[in-house]
Amino acid sequence: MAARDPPAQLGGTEADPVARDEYLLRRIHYRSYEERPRHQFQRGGFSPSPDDKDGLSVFRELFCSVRELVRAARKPPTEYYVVRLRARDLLDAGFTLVPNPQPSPVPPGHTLIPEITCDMPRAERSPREATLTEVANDPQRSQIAWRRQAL
Amino acid sequence: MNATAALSAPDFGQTSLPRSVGSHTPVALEDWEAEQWSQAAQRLREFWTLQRDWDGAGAEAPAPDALLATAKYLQNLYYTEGSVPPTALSPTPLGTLVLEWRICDDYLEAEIAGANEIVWMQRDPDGSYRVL
Repeated sequence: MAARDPPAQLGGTEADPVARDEYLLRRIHYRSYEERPRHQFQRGGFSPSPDDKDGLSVFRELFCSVRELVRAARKPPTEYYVVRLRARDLLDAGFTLVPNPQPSPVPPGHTLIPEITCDMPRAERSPREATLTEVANDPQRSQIAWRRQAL
Repeated sequence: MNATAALSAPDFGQTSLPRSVGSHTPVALEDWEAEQWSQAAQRLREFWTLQRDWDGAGAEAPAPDALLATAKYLQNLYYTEGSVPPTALSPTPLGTLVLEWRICDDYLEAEIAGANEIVWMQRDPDGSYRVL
């Protein structure tokens, strides 16, 4: 992934549409990351939780820092990775990004990917999760913004 | 079967249990192969200890049926001539387990929800993913 572009919407609000040149963050538990035989996020890191009925959560880095995201988690920061994804790569892969601001304690910049929900049939959902995982494992299209060893 | 009994059952990663070919001639495991089988067995044992919300985002604990079915599948696979150990084994937030085989650009996975609930998915040459 190339050096980060300047923020696209300085002064914007969380409800504004996500610009193609924005960055999005997703927190991934270490159980969904494999270190051997090679470093890879696993599909489970992009599977919805039982409460994800409206879509998979990501956070706009324009409004939420990496540290803010890991510190807002219910588990210690040492249990997580954070992957940084470009909005345009997700859009080009066929996903939609829907701003979904939530009150605290949910970090700011909450955004949904409605193509992946817990109620969706597995045959429909799994390929989409795998596509998203492939983007996250492609160093040309993603960065690991937080490693669990960081603390 | 309770969790403790199932925990000790899938010791398919032990190199002291030689695989055999048709004539029951023991087959030695390559180091990398033994390590991957061992890692899969270790992961599976760890997954028995996961509880609801193991990821801090509301994940379901791995379902006992999924754990048992995965153990049985891996054990059978281990003793199948020419089988390749999975390159990864991970839980999903919906209580299923995913076995992955990533070899170069090839990708095959089995998502296991229970004894008769295994869904296979592969990556096609055009880069798309398809449930089999």
